[in-house]
Amino acid sequence: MTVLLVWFKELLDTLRDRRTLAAMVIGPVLVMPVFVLLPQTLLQRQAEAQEQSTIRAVFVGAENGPQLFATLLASGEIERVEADEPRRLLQEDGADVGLVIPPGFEASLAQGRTAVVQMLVDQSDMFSVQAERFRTLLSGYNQAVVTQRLEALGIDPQQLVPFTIEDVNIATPQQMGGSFLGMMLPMFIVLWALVGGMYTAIDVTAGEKERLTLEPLLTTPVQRRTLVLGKLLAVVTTSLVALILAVASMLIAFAVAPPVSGNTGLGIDLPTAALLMAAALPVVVLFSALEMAVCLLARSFKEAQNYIVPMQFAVLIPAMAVMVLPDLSPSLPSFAIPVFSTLVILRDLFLGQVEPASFGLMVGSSLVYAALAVGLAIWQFGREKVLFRT
Amino acid sequence: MIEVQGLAKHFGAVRAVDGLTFRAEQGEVLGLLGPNGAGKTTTLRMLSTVLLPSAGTAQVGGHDVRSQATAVRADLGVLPEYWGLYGRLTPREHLRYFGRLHGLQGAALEARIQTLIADLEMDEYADRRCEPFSKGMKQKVALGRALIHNPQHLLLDEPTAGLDVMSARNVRDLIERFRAEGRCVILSTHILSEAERLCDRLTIVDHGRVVASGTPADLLRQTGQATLEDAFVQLVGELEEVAG
Repeated sequence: MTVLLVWFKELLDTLRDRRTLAAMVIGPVLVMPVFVLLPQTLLQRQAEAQEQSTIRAVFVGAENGPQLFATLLASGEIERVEADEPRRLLQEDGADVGLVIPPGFEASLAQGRTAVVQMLVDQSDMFSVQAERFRTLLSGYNQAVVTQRLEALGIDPQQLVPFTIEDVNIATPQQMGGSFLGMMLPMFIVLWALVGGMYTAIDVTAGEKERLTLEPLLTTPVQRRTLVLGKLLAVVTTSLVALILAVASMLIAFAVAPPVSGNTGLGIDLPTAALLMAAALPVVVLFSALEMAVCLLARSFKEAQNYIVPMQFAVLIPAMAVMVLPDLSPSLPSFAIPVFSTLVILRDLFLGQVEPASFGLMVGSSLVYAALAVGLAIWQFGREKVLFRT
Repeated sequence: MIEVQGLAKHFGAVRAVDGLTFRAEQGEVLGLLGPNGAGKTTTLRMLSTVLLPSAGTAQVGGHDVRSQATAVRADLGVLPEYWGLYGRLTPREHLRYFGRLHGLQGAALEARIQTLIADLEMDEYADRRCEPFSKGMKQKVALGRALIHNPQHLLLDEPTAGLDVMSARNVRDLIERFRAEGRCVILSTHILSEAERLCDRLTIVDHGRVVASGTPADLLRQTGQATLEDAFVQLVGELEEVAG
């Protein structure tokens, strides 16, 4: 019961602090939808804009292939850009694509031989669809020449096409955005588990030392273990609220602005949400206890903030690994690696492909780590050097 | 009764407290006097069980600070040197929280809170957050917190430090009252006039050891000095360290 008393007081205290509210409520509710919606909206806008706009093309040696040049311009999709140094213009985003037509091109065509043209593309511009559109136009002209040649030989061009392949394009930029999000979500969940309770963790440890309220608290008959557990419960509560709000605001963002082109990979139903929570809870307890153990070493709120930042990096690194390796399928024993295993399980939950054994091992091992971290926090609260460090 | 026998506390090579022996009865105010760094606060912290003694024994109300720490804390009120309040809680919330931590609850607790608020004249600001309070106001909240469970033993570390004339006087009146109520009070201070007026007996500490003890009159007789300040200076022998 005393644990609940300490828990209630710490929650009351922390909820009166604007910093806690910012980390626990405003952050998850406002930041998450921005992360969800912004890249998607931007990608979509950009793609639409590119589809509609003309292809800005630089031509070198246009006089070598007047027919090709005329055909391309006749498509109406090309805007010709003049430049002395086409490569630089491309890099500075003054043009989308460059075409170099060598001398003798026209003659080569007339003789029925194969000529080479160079297409200059800035491959580092990942989101550009203009180069592909230009290539299609070039291929169209190529095809037209082939047809002419065959007809000159009296062959039906259809003879050369036993069958055609119909491309069903599903890799739109919007969908790329969708899978991008699928990789991001586990990281955000773990991140909010870490950040949501951060200010409360500092407040109930280093904050208590800074305000000199720790000594009066320790002179009550309550056991130190009970004090630590009550405080831990308060930190876990704020972390969980932040996490739930983050996931909820994400779901609402998806409902309000669903990913286009029928991407249903991220639909989260109630049982999945419950599993997500069950997967996240041990890691929330682990982080909360670790944050408390670390922050108790600090003498002040500011010092504690300095200690907590490296901890966040330590978590972000495995998170990044899971994010950038979407096909990562670790062996069973590696589900005993803290944090990493949680990230993988969270990702698999989103993709709907969780192995019960992996899930069990992750939850079980995480609970052990969490218990160790709680033990560490309690031990720290018993150290005179830590409590009265001046 | 508080009884201390050969109490010591070492922080590495530093002997903050080096074999203290003294005792304070119920209805008595014992003054712990000494220059800064003499080991007064460390001694009080061992008595309140937040620090573990390196050697020696200490008993509060017959309970050992090592083996019966919870029982010691249950009947001990502590006013630390710095009041240490939660800025976002009100005085009433402070008293309620600490009352509950001491196992009080319900109507009895609320009645006790009301009594303390009236006694310490905190009615005006009992339900305002503590953050902007003056030192005198904060000191009253801290005193109320120390008294919430009506302890028979009180440890007061520099209770009038930094207070204005009126607030300091109120605190001194309260200490007189604690004696009249039969409580056992240990008062750590370096304000000699206050010690002379309030304390039944004085224990003068320097470098973690007792250098003299007795009633103020005893100390004057021992040293052959006319004032307690002169006696103190002679005993401690380091004029420049005397503060207050």
